[in-house]
Amino acid sequence: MDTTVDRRVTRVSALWYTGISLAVVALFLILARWVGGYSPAAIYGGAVWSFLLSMIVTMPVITAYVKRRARGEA
Amino acid sequence: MGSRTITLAINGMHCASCQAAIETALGDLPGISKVAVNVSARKAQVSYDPSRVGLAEMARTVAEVGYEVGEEELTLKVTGMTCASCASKIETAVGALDGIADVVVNVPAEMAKVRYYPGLGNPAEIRRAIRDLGYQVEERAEGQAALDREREARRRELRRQGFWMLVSWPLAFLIMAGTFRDYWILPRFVPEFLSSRLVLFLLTTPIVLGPGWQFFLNSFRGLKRGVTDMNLLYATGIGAAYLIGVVNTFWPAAGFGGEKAVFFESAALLTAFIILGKWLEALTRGRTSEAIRRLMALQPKIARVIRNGKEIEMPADEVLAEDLVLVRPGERIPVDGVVLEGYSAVDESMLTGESLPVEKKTGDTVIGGTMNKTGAFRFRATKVGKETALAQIIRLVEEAQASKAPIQKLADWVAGHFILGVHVLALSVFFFWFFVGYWRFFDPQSTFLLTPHALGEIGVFGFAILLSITVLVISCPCAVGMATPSAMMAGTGKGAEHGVLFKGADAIEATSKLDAIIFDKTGTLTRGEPSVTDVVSRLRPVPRSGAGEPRALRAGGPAGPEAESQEEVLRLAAIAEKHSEHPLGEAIVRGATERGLTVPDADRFNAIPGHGVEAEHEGRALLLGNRKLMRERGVDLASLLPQAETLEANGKTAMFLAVDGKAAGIIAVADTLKEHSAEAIARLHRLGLEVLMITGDNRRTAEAIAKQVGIDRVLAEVLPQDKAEEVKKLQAEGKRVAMVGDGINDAPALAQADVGMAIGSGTDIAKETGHVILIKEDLRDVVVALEVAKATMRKVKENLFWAFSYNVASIPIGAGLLYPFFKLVVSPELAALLMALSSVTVTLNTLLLRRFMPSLKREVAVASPAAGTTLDLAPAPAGAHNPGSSGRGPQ
Repeated sequence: MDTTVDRRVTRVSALWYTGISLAVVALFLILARWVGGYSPAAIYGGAVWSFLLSMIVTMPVITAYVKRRARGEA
Repeated sequence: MGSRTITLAINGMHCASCQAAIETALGDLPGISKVAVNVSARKAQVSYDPSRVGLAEMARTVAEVGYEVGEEELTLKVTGMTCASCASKIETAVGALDGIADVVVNVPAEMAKVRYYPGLGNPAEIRRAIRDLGYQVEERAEGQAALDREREARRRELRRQGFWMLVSWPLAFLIMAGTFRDYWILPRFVPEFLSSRLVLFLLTTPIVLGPGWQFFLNSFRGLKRGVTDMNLLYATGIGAAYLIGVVNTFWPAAGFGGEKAVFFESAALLTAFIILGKWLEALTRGRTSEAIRRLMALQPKIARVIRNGKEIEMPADEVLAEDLVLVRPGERIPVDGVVLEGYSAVDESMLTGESLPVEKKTGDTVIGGTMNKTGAFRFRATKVGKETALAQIIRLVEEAQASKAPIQKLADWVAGHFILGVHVLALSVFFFWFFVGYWRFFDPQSTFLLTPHALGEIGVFGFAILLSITVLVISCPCAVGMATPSAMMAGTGKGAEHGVLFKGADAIEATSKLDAIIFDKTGTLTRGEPSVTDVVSRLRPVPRSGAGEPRALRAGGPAGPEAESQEEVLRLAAIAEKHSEHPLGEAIVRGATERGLTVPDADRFNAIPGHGVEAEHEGRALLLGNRKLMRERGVDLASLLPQAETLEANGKTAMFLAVDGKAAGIIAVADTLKEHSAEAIARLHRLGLEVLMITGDNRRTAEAIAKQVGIDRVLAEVLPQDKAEEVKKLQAEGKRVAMVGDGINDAPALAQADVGMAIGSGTDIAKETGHVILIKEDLRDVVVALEVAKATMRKVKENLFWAFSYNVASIPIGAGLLYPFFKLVVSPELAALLMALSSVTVTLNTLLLRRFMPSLKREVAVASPAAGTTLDLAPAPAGAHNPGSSGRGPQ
């Protein structure tokens, strides 16, 4: 796979897994607001941890998927 | 989706019709837009849509029409792998490269075997992909060099992790002492400054950035390529604990649990325990492959070669075929060869498992790597370098250790998806305790399991992230991933130690599940060549011994006039047959000389094709042959017929001797059983297996020998080409069948069987077909193979049980399942200790296999082989049968 395709894979997959991770963070924030009673630090900390774990989960899955598709198109 | 054009190398094409066949077959696949095959270049250019068809499907289609897409194999030594997820990481990364047919990575063997399509796959790219993941990669070396490098790599890993242990453990103890300074008697010994959060920060930072840095680096490398491994679990756990500590040290009011929730001891002990686990793994991992190292260590370094009449010492790997090699007592034989001069006893136990030294005289073969015990001898080198039996055995064992057993599929699937699954679980656990659990169950007085440390002011975020980190740390795919390959490595090594070579992990698994074993008769159960078994004499007994009823004697029986008269019958028969080229004649002459009889030349000799021979010696007319010959020459056989029929009923060929026109005796000739055949069959019966014999012989002969050897069921009158069909019929009965036979002649049947066992290959291992190779011609090794396979599979199951049980029990506990009931949580450092212990437990359990001994070796007294009939005279202990092919048998 040439570097152009590699770059495209990196860009597209980053867009997807960051988007999904942000969606998880959004879900976390909505739940935190709904349950209520959290300090701002707990909310920020929880958001960061949720984002980190979501990124770890989605990054390999999405990257591999986008790479497979890109190989097909190359 | 775009189209792609590739060029495949195709093997086996000869003409334009081959070209058409391949073009049609490939062209019929969906997604292929254009195929152009060039017969002379042996290439096929294919334009295809990768979203609809893959390389593997194309290769399969080409194979289905009788050709083969050319593949090349690259075997690499990969160091730095720690567990199954590393294997899965490499398999994913390399498998994603272009032109890869298959990737198998074996962590314990530190080996990656990659099959790729030349021109599409690129070895340099494969190596780079593995290096990019943070592992060291080099071409797999042969023999001693591989041994040295492997040892060096293991030492390096031990040194590296040992150094990090020296850094992390003293600091971790100080951090623990500082953290728990207020408890028990510690205030009396631990200075107050040590409990300062700033000091704890200063002590923890070198651990995280020193020993712990490798986990961050390796996870980053993996994530860059879209793969995850255990390093990510470690890095997430250590990083989160450390960051919370930093925040609560410098910004205690930030709301992450405050001063009482710094977690520095978690980050420090977590790192220290993981490093300890890695160190223990490096220490024990090498031991599971000890057998291969022992085999490699057998390769002698120096050879004494005679060139131009001078004796010179040279490196053993520089010995050439046809070189004259000298071996002295106590020296290791450098290469394979044939003895030209001298006599000695050689200890071959290291290769064949044979405990007694084997005598070597002129004409005998010697195996490189075996130990010369008593005398000096010279031999001509026949196989050198990679062609020696030892090199082939090493290669075979290595390949077997790199293969995967079917039972490993589940473990691989679990290990491969484990890391992501655990992260998903950690996120779920965090959500649960953050939004629900903390509010419903949290008790500030609750403590960590096995510590007095109260959770106190930890706060909702601190509590939820703590349990989330514990889940990450406590889970251990390593144990699941290591369970099967480590036991398989030990099992293949154990087999090799006893002269049983399994060609793959699948062979071990299949061998352990057998229901029935079919033995080929000729050359497997029997020696494969006729020999004299009985002699019946009607000659007048020698006068000094008195008269008596003539009868047959067994070998080694009492000496006396009858024995002497039988020797005379044998001697006369041998004189008659001395110039015969018939196998039965040769057997008679050999039988006479083996018993110390002098066999002079006949004065006159005439072969009567299909019937026998006639000869004249010292004025006596000798006639030796079948009934028909005797009838034609008017010899009265009435007194010999009852004994002839008894012998024939036992599957032996009875040949009549007439002297001067009068019946003088019978010589019975048969293919005799091998020394340990009956014992092997009895042992297989004890293991609960059905034992069958397959032969081309007629049923009466076959049943006679089956009875002697103790076989249940006989498949007689089966032509060689139909043996595979018979195996198939048994399989259709739902039985898992092994076929034991000659690796070359019985190849189709061996291939058809669930397990093909090729016996007695000696030094020609490379030529053998079948899944299991028995180096010695000892049928009891079939039992050894079964016992090793069963012991190995038992170990695999035990390992899988422990590994799965650990994860099934520990992950819910780590996630806080017990907290609502007992108010106890597992601290991340305890989780790290448990995790390290789980993979070490699996490895240690595997190491117990080293103590395994086959029942044969365990038993002090070896059961004596089954006795033949009282008529037996053959040197072989067991019965005999009719060779069947002779035109000189009873007519």
